[in-house]
Amino acid sequence: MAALRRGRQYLRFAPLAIAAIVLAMPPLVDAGLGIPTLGDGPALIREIEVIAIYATVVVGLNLSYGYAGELALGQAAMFAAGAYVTGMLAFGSLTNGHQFNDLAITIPASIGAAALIGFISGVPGLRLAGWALAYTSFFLVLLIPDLASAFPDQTGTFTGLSPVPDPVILGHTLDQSGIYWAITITTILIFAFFRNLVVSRHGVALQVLRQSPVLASSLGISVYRIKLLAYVLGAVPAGVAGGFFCYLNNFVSPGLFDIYTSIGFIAASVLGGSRTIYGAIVGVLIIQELGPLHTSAFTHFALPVYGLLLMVGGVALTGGLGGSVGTVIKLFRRRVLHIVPPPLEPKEPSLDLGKFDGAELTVTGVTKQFGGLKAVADVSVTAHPGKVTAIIGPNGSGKTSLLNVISGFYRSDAGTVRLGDTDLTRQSPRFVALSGVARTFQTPSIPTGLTCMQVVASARYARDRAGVIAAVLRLPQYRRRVEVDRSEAMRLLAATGLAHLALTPAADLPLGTRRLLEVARALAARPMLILLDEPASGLDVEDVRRLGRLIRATAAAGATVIVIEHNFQMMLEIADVINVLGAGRLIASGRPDEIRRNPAVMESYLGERPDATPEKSPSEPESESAS
Amino acid sequence: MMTTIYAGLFGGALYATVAIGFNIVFIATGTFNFAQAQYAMLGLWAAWIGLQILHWNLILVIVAGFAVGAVIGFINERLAIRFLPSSSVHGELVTTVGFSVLVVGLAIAAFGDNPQTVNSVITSNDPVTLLGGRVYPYELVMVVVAVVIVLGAEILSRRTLLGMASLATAEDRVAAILKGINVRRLQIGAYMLAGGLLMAVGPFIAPVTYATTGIGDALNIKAFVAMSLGGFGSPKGALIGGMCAGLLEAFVGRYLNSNFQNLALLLLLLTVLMLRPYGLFGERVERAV
Repeated sequence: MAALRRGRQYLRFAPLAIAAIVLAMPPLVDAGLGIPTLGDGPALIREIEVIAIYATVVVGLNLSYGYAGELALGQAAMFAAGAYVTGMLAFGSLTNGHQFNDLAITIPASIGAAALIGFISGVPGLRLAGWALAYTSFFLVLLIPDLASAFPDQTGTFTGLSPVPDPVILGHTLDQSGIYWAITITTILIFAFFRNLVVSRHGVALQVLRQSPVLASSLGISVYRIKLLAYVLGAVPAGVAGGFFCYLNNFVSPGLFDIYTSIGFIAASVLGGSRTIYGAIVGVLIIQELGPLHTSAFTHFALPVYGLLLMVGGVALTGGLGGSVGTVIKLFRRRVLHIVPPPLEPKEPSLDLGKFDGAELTVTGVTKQFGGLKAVADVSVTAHPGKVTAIIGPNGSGKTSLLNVISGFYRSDAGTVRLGDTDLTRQSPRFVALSGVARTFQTPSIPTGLTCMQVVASARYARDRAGVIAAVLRLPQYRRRVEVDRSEAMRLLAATGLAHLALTPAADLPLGTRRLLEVARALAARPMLILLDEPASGLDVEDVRRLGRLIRATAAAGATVIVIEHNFQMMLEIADVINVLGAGRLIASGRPDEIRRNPAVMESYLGERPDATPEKSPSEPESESAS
Repeated sequence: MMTTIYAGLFGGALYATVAIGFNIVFIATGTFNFAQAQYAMLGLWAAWIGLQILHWNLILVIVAGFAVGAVIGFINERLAIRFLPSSSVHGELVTTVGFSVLVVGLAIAAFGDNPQTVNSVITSNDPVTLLGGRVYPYELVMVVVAVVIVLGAEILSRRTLLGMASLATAEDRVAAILKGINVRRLQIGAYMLAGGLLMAVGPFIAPVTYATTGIGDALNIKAFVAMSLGGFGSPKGALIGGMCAGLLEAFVGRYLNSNFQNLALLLLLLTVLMLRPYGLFGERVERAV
């Protein structure tokens, strides 16, 4: 058992072990090693080089498609850009015959070209969700032969550039083993960088975005900017791979890159698991065996297979084979090795939230119209720091519409919204979030695949930035940032009584727990104002009690708290001020005991007159939807 | 000059027709069928088989093309759309790309890489001089066919109960279901109609383009330019967008450099996406939480 447990310790070094074996291949092959189906001798070396190059492209695609959720068809264009830039520099056709053949020049130039192409197609393509990017990037692939014949002196038109000289590194010309090591070491580095990226806070932000753009913008994350970032970063490996592809073939021509090259990469991505890193290698290995990506003649036969694969993969294999392998490993560890993290005992919430700088929210004369319907009509509400302000009303009375106006998801037709000195009127959700407003949702929005700690920490992404490069290289600055993320998240999990669940996948937790988790996430943004959208609906009595204490503690810590609720009883107990909406209008506002005695509220909201039910004690008014 | 205009109008008619296919599916289902342009490619081969091999009459070829297209549309919906998990956003992206690749792959396996000539059976196959430009009569016939299709789609979507049910479904699927609209049947119907329509027009296109397996990708992308320019869900927008794209392409090819035709269309697309992402006749909707 102990041996098995130690085995698990070593499992995380598996990628390193594979990397070491790959690096040791040339001498082994010289000694006569062969691998079934992959071959032996120089053919085997070349096969590994090709797989490494394609896997590099696919890992970039996984970032933009698998993690950011945007399908682009332009991977072949970025790959081509990398290959052509390296080819033209090495050939000197771009620079009046001066050859620049040092890898230190050609590969960075290839990266730049691919990233530039990603940027040009991504900026307009990502403005509309979904199809626009697929087409702008598809277009780029269509342009390859056009551009090749438009610039014959630079590109050599359809025959291309040949022979491209062998690469030089710092003055030394690389031999065949040298090229092999250059390719494999680069591939290993890129995989390490991308693996670091997806487990970093940037990767968490991508998962938040993929779950719900609405959630992302409510956390102050710019949906557009992070998609563009993922897409441009996803182009970088394609540029590197293109450069090496050029050296490997000793030539570059437009026939090497068409739309079905891109399709092959996507098929490999889907097959290996688009939301994985190492799955890219699995996918490329299989595609390589099915039908070589590099011979375009063979694509004729491969096309129907790719087509079916994309359809099956798009419907069923969301995790791909790579993902399935990951699941099997996890199950194996749990069922066979019995490696289960020991369950932790839940503790009472500490309610230690730290201090909040609350600010006064002033909503003046806000109106929101949908067609002919006035969902919110001339409503004015104020909420003060340190107080719990409730907004109650029956279904359709405009509570959530008002909340959406405040948090920027709806643009008001009239009126103003101010938070302290900041004017939030008609601002974007992201601006509102960054101005110090956090919110929860009626249906808790918890991304799949994240732990509770990651969910809570995700609220800090937009406020406390750390660069991508720092994350990829794990610089000390980044490590410090993560340390703060972790301790802040742990403090809030302890405060809400969820500390024992810190490393548990969050999306599968029961509703009441997810509600508390959402509150913890909202608090992690250190907001001035926190908006809770029907936090008690669907909760049992015990959960409602815990939530009520948490809400009181939040106000006591200095935050401005607005609660939208059905649960009249709960609001009578925890609110300092209650505003009552009816048919879009504010019909009453006051302290709980005033509201309880207000005849207009009793009639409109509870459907009864206080004098018609004298037998009910005033401390127990009937709540129509306490369930 | 006029010759260039005629070429542009034919291209525009072609792109508009494919864009109508996109639109029918988009209006009725809110999804986008990447494989749509491949039906036009299949229509070319249907025309070749019907007219050149079997020597059927034109009406029969059109009807048979429509029927086959409808069947393939049915398969398309079944394979690429039906089983998508409801939670997946733009899940049809990868599955309809897959269907498109499947269709192209099978077409290449069946018909090979070489284009085949298809003669026009309604007009002569000789060019005529009209208003100072040379044009093949069948090119003008295609322009008329495209205008008729656009008018038909416009009437279908705005004036009939079926069209309104489609618009309602695209707007809010759940509300449409609650109103008693059979969303499933509507969805299958839209894929069948769009597929049938694009295969049926094959005989009008094939004399110009020949029957070829490679045309689908370029057609796909240019029809998307037409649709983006005109606005998603607008048939008349598709016509205007198609004509703009066709004329731009023809003029760049004639007066600038044929290597820059695609580049000009790409720049047009990027400009539209930057300045008017919802197109000339498209509408923007406010998203809800």
